[in-house]
Amino acid sequence: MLRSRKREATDLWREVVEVAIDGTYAERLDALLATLGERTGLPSRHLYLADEGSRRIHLERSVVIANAATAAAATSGQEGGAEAAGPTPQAELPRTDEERTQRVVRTAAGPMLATPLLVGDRYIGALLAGPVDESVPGAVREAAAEVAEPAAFVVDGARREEVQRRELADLRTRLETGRRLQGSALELDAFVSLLLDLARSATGSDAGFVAIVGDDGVPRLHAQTGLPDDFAPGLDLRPDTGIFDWAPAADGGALLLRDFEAVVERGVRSILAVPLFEGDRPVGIFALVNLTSGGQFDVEALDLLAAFAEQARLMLGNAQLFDRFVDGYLGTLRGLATALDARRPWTHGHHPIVTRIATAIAVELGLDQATVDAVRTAAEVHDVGMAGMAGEAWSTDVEHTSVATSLVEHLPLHPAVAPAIATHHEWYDGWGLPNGLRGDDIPIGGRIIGLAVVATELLAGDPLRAPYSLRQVVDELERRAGSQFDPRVVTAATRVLPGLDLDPMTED
Amino acid sequence: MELDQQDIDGVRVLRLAGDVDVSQSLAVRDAVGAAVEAGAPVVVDLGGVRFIDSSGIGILVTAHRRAPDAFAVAGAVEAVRRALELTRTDRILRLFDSVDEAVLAVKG
Repeated sequence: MLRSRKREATDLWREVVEVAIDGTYAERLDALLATLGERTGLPSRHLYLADEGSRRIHLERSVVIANAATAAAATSGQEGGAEAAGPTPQAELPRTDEERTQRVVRTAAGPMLATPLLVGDRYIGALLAGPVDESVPGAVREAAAEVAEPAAFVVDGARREEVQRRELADLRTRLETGRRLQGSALELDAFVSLLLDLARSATGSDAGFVAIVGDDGVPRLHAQTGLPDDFAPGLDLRPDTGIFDWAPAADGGALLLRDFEAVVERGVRSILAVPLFEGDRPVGIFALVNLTSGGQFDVEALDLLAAFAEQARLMLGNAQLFDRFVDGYLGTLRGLATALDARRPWTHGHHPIVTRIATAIAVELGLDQATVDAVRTAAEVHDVGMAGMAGEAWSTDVEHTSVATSLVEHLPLHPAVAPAIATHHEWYDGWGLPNGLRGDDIPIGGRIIGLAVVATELLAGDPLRAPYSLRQVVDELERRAGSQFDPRVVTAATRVLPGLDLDPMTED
Repeated sequence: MELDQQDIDGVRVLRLAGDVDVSQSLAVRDAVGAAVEAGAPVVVDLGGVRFIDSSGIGILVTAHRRAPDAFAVAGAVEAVRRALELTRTDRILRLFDSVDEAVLAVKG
């Protein structure tokens, strides 16, 4: 008899270990719960695991068979056990002094037989099976205890592997983040897109978006991933009417979803929108979205989301700091340009007038707003390289463009700014300085500023030549069309010059 | 998602279980809204909830705003607490470990 019991126990060990040795973590746990069901005959089976340092055990996996007829279509448990065909037990249970003893416990899904999982002296959790009465038959208790013994070792091993797998995945994500960030420093939108992609894949979400709060206090989408085409159009993010409501800082400065209908219409199953705050000031929203059923976040995913959101917040803060630095730096260069203009009476107001003319031509040519702004910025400081030149040597004309370019090319400005400064002494026919570029090889900003500089100098005159009238300037520009200047730029200039205020005393 | 309710010491206790997300939010909003409108103190027991998203959190905060002294949340598991922290709503809501504590706090 004893021998037979021993053999049975050994067989059970073999059975449990064999069914639970292959497959994913979830599949292995499902196999264990299936064995528990076969042995005890109880339809509702749940694996709870103890967390280090916690006074609770959490529901790791559930299998609930609604009744014998649907047993074949058993609802396989999911982590945490929600999609079950029966009452759902609590996601967590308190740990007690009796946890090492097999006993009946009350749960939200009714009384269940709790059998401890022990590895040596170490309590790692419990197998719960039910429903049961207060008096559980001895055979059922025994069957559960027999399964629990090998199950403890299998669960313990599987869990360690799972923790290692998650740690590895986490490490890989961090390494990947670090490696990829080097290539996109300070490009804010590229950076947040990257963070969003990584957060989406690390948490297994379907989609996500990042909105950044603009100067007007309204968040706008700066990055999105995996969203359906019809998600973004018409998405209202305004604080007073939009889908999110910002709780005031006095209330903790939180972010609330206000317009359920808007997200339901967009096919959203679940959304977790994390507010990004700089002190008490909202600076953005980092949101992950699930469009299909079953999408939800566990603690590890939420930790990852928190880490990515924090990275995005830091980056937004840094970008704003850097913008302020760039503004301050450009302000210094504008001051230097003003000081250079003041050195001689005939150059007073040179930079502001060149800027007015160049900007008007850029607009007249139909350039996009960002390029117009780039031309304006380049014109404002185009001659600051003169500050580095000694005397009036011919080399000044050659080198000052390079010096000025070197003062701005390291800044994250529009890519048209530095080339415009570098080429404003090139000629359309290739006879200019410093590189003899010709035609459209000269960037449009350089072609525009080159003309604006000459027009400004002719209007101002110098000790050897009287100032030209506007008519004379226009005639001179037209004479040089095709040689020094791009004819299209000349045409635009002749259209805009008569309407401009070209008084050096006018403040911009 | 499951939802049931009972009265304990004159406090309406709503027990939610499963996932509280956009797909469930309208039902949850109706239930929580009706409980708060009824006038008695309300405790929402999240003990059986393993995941809550921004829509579910929005309902809890709205209920809190309507009845700041007569509304509390109990039994949030770690993943739910983490979601409340991430959205910074843990600073707004009155959170309690157990339903008993929450009932005691709101019954006045």
